Amino acid sequence: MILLWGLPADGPLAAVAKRLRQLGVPAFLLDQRLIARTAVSVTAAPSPSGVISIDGVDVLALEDVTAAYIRPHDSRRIIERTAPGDPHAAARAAQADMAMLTWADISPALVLNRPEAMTSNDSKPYQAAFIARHGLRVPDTLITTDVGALREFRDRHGELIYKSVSSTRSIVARLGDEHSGRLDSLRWCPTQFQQHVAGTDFRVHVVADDIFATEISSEADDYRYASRTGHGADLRPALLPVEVADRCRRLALALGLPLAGIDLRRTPEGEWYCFEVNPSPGFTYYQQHTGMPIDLAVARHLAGDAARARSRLRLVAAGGGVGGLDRRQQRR
Amino acid sequence: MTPGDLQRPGWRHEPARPLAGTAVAGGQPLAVASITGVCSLLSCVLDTDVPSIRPEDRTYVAAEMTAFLCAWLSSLPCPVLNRPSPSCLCGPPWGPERWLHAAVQAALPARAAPRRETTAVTVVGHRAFGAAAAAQCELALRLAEFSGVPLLRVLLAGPASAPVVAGADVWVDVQGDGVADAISDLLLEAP
Repeated sequence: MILLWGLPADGPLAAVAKRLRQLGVPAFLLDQRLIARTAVSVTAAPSPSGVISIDGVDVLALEDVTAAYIRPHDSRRIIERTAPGDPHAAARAAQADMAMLTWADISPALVLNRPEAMTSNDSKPYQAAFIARHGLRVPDTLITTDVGALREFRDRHGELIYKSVSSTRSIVARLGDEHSGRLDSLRWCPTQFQQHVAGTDFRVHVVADDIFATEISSEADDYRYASRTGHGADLRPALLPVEVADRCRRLALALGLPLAGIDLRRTPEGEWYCFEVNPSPGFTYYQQHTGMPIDLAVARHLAGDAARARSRLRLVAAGGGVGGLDRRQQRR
Repeated sequence: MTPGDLQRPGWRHEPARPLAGTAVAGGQPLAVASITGVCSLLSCVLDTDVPSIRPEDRTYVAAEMTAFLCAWLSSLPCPVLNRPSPSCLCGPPWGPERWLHAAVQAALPARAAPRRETTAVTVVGHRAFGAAAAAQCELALRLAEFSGVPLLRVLLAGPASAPVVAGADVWVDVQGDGVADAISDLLLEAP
């Protein structure tokens, strides 16, 4: 049994669920909208086991799960909508979430991705140090509360960008003269600055051994928010140099992330920089623009070799490919 | 060093050159290269730790400080007890079942037990405090060693002569008998 955990309308979760149906692989959706009515018990010893129940009825034995794709959202926000006025809903939801996260960390099932592995992204410089140790170049970085240190760093690198240190989503922005009057505020919190690296962005989705690369052309400092700055973003499928693709695979493996979204930039000189690794990538945005079947790769990886073989037979029988790119080029 | 020290000028951390940086401790700048050991007793920075920040910004600032400290502590070449994880600055933030799983992985006897039926043994490196029998010492030390967590409170159930792991956590009481001295010894004896 494949377990899907999250909201049914979540793009990547819905896409993978649809692919699993197409592959004929049974899946159970743990619908997070029901979190206030869900209970999860997990035991670790003598071996990981547990049960999910909804409204007091057992619906899934966790030892039956062979693989899981988890994209849980913030339960506190969900119960504000689904269980307003229930004073115990938050505590029950927290307990269920904790039990599910524990199971996802200790289960022998394939889990995309294990919660503990996903935490590396909670500290960007922590993750960047890991990335650098695994062979990908990262931008020179300063985290400081000190205006003098920032000035020295700026003298060394010229143009700088700033962004959040934590996983709190922030818009990457260029440090400009307009900020000079606010620099004294640095003392209130260590702030992260990086050398500005000019070049072309690539989002690389790693699904086990498969690589799906998207090239993004945009004039914006942060293409995800290009429209806010009056820019556009053009996304298209790309092929990576073999060495870069292999480094991405090795990095995802070292981080313990069978599914990863890696942000790269290629400079005009042909150097590759890595900015961060997203452990729960919203790959459907890239898939919609490029036609690359990332959801299918995720579903197949969850389903395992047997289902993969069945699906290949079905596709061959139908005379179809898997769309988007030639997967022989994608797999090295 | 407290969260208040993160709100003073002087911090300078370049991940590519961690030893060239400066920290702030006790309100004073401190060359990172002069730090020879760290004992981390803070799991994260909380909103309440940054009262001088506007209320609407406190959660963000606290998260930024926690993320920064994780990166900074991880970059130090000196002993750090315990090494941080991104979700806890003083070691792995595991719950009881996760620790039971670690015990099972280490082939140690383990089972869940009510807290009131457990005995706490504090591990500091290769020393254990609070044990009533050698078997408890040995079990606690083996779990800490397997987990790579030198400061650990291990909860044991069952008879003292044949204990089982019932859980653990990183919330070590440094005021317990001999614990602070043992931490100091451990930091001083490190190469």
